[in-house]
Amino acid sequence: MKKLWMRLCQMHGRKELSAEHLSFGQLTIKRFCRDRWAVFGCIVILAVLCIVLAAPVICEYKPETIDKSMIRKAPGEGHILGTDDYGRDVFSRLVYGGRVSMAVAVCATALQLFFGIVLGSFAGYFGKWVDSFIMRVADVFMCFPFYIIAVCLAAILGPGLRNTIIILGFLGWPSLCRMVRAEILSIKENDFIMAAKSLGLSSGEIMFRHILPNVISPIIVSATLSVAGAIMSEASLSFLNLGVKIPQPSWGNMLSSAQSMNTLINEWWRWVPPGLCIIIVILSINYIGEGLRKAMTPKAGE
Amino acid sequence: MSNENPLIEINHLKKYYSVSNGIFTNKKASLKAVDDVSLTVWKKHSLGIVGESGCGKSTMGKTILRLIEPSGGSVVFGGKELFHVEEKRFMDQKQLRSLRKEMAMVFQDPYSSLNPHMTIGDAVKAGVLRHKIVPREEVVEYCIEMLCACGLEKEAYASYPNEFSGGQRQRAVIARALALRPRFVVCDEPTAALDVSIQSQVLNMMLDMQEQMEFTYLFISHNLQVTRAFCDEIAVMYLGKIVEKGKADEVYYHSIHPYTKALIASLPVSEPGRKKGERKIINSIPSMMDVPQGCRFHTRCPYADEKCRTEEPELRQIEDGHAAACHRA
Amino acid sequence: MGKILEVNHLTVEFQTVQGIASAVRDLSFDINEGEIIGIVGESGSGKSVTSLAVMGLLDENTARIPNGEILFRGKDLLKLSEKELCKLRGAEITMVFQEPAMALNPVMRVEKQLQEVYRIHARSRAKNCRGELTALLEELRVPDAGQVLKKYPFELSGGMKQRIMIAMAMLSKPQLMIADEPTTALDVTTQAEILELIKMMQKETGCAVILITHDLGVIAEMADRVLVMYRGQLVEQREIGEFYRGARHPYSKDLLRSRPEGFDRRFWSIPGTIPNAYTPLTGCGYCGRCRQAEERCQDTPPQLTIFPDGSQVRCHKCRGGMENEQ
Repeated sequence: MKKLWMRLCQMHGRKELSAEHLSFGQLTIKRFCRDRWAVFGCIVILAVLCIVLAAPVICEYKPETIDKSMIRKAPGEGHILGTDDYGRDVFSRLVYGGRVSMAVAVCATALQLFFGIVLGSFAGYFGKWVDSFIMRVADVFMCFPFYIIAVCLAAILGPGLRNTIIILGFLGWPSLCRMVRAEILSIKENDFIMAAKSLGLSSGEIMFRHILPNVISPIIVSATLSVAGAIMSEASLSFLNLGVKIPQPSWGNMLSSAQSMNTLINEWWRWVPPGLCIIIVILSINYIGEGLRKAMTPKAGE
Repeated sequence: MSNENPLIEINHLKKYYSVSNGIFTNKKASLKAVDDVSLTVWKKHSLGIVGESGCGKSTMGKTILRLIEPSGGSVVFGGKELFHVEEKRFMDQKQLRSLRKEMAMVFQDPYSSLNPHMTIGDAVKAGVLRHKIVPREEVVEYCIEMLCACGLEKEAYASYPNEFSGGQRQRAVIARALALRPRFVVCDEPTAALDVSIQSQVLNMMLDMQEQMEFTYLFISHNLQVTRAFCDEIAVMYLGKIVEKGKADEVYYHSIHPYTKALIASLPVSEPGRKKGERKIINSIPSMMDVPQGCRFHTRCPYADEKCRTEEPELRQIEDGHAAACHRA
Repeated sequence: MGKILEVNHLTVEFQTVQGIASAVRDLSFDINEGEIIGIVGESGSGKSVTSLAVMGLLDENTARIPNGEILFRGKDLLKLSEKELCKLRGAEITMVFQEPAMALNPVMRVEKQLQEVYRIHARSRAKNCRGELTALLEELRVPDAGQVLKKYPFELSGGMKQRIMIAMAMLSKPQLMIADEPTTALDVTTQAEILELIKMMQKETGCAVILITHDLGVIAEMADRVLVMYRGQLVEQREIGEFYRGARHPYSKDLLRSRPEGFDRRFWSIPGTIPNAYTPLTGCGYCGRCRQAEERCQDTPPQLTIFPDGSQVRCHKCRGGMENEQ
């Protein structure tokens, strides 16, 4: 598009594309970068992602390798963060566990986004019985307390990585759906939607090219915070032994296996690192989410 | 005027909204936004609709184009019937959508009639591509030409609405509407949100485009001065009904209906110290859910008598081409 | 008559992502007691920003006032703390906004909102002020004042809401009232009534009024003096009758000429548009659109010429009491 424009300018005698035509996205990025905490959050998350992706390279030991001679050793001597009660290296379990936790969080959020956006759009745009039907379904899902349903589903489906993703995705879509629907209802009232109708555009075109781009901003903020929520939920589920199955590590089940008084008092290296990681990642994601929210809704005069 | 072809014939148009009367009753009150309006718009003429805010003129504009579903009456556009509610005939959606290229609308608020996430160029292009106004390769150039004809720079094509002022945005909205090469353009208070100086520019541009492209305007406004200068004919609307209709100068300088007279007398003076015409309007405008019995204007009319309170006057010809709905005319 | 407000060399800038926007540039004017002055200009001329600066309502994060002073009865408002400003706002200096729907709290009844103002700022501390509020509304020609007090803002029409706003502004018998486009959002019949009301209240209480608008007709009806602003600068200041009989500045002349009455099928309009606030000012601000522009207008900024009768104009061609006929 830009190339065509420049060619046109040349045709009409203009030398170059003057001034910046910053799109909404570019302006948002500019504002985002002015927020120190948000940028700090970004850096931390990127660092965490790099580390967990480089797991095979930086970890000396495999996370599931049992070494009976090195049970419950403190940090030092070839194990940076010591070993757990099966002699497995805590550091490599931490890094591989990070992979699992982040993967679960991202995939679960993706699932939530898919159902939330599609169903929310239909409910908001078409209204009437479609809206009523979808909203009642969402209401049913939201009625039940999260952990009760999660426990039931885990009991039915069984623990494991894939099932955890399914459970989190399935239980998280209603609130996103509601938000998308609310945004669409308010955007529908704008004149530019009626203008699109008056141009003769079809419903599909109006929905996808005109309404949805305006709804994206709050969705992105909500999705970012969903990822943080999913990490917490996965940790909780794994802590209850309903999430990721041992010996596959995850931050949650590492915390779970450190439950006894003896471990808590004497073997800090088994629960402090995963706990700290969860805190750092969730804090960073929250800073990013807050930064995005502020960047996308600038105050008047900016 | 009578030997020319009518472009749009509006007959007994009605738009009622039912508003619930409270949570304990099933009865619904009717908000009569458009109450039995009949108008004819001639080719290449401009018809102005004037009235206070809340009198239903915007609703009427949107109902004529069937952007809002009507409650009654019929509209025939260029020989094709858009709808006839009483006889249950409605043009189907697909045909209606392709007919939309002949009917365009310009909206009031320049700040909400452009999608903030689309460039001006994309906004103008959308309709052109949909109705294949020009071959695909020429679309961009055509849109840029259109924007320039409406007084914007070529750069506007790649710009976003937030970079522009109200007047420039309104030009973009007009360019988007006129790019379809319509035969009929409904303008809903196109310059209400603009300063007086910009207003003049935009109105001049609209008149120029009309001369070039030969289309018809339905100009909705609450500003009688501007409407008089812009339009050939004026219809004055009050609480959903037309109360006076005629040539622009006739309605402005020789108004018959007391409401029109009061509107003109309320206009701000052009010079300090100049005396205004007598302004005898009293009370405030009743709500549309509570339309007064008899002549709807009688609660505010200084000349109202017994007949006005009981019988609703018909819109009838008083002079040649000049009609009013008043018992005392 | 003493001076109630003196604005001296006020400059206001906004810091945004797209750069620095100069909203007001070196603005100076004053208002006498009991006077109605009209500030006229297009959108973007800086008139609203001026009023917000006087009230101290500019956004702290983005707005900056590099220099200037706003003296209210000798006190510099820009140097006052938020607490001291609060005492003045709503009591000595009040404001009526353009959109009454936005300025009234939608979840509070009218009576409660008026009571709030009454209790904080009114001279008397009477607990039951309903009688006085009713009397005030009746003075403002609000029909059925007792009933209106019990209503919520959304139940009222635009004209009615604006009357409530004026009541709120007048309750504390202020010395200065700023009305920022009070009738732009209203119909022509309601506008006429509201303007009459403002004039009536002003006569009774003797307060000074700053009326900000882009409508010259409103100014002609209401103001004693007119200030014309363009691109953040004062370009002309004149007594109202003189202004309409013979404005000096080319922009004023153009504004007067572009009024819609008397035209038929073609309006006269000022060519071009006002440049945005990010564009730096070189020479005369009006140069790009002025029909009388000369070479020096492009690079030399004109100074403000003060005439013997107190009027002012900022133009190269209107200097020293000698105007160039056009």
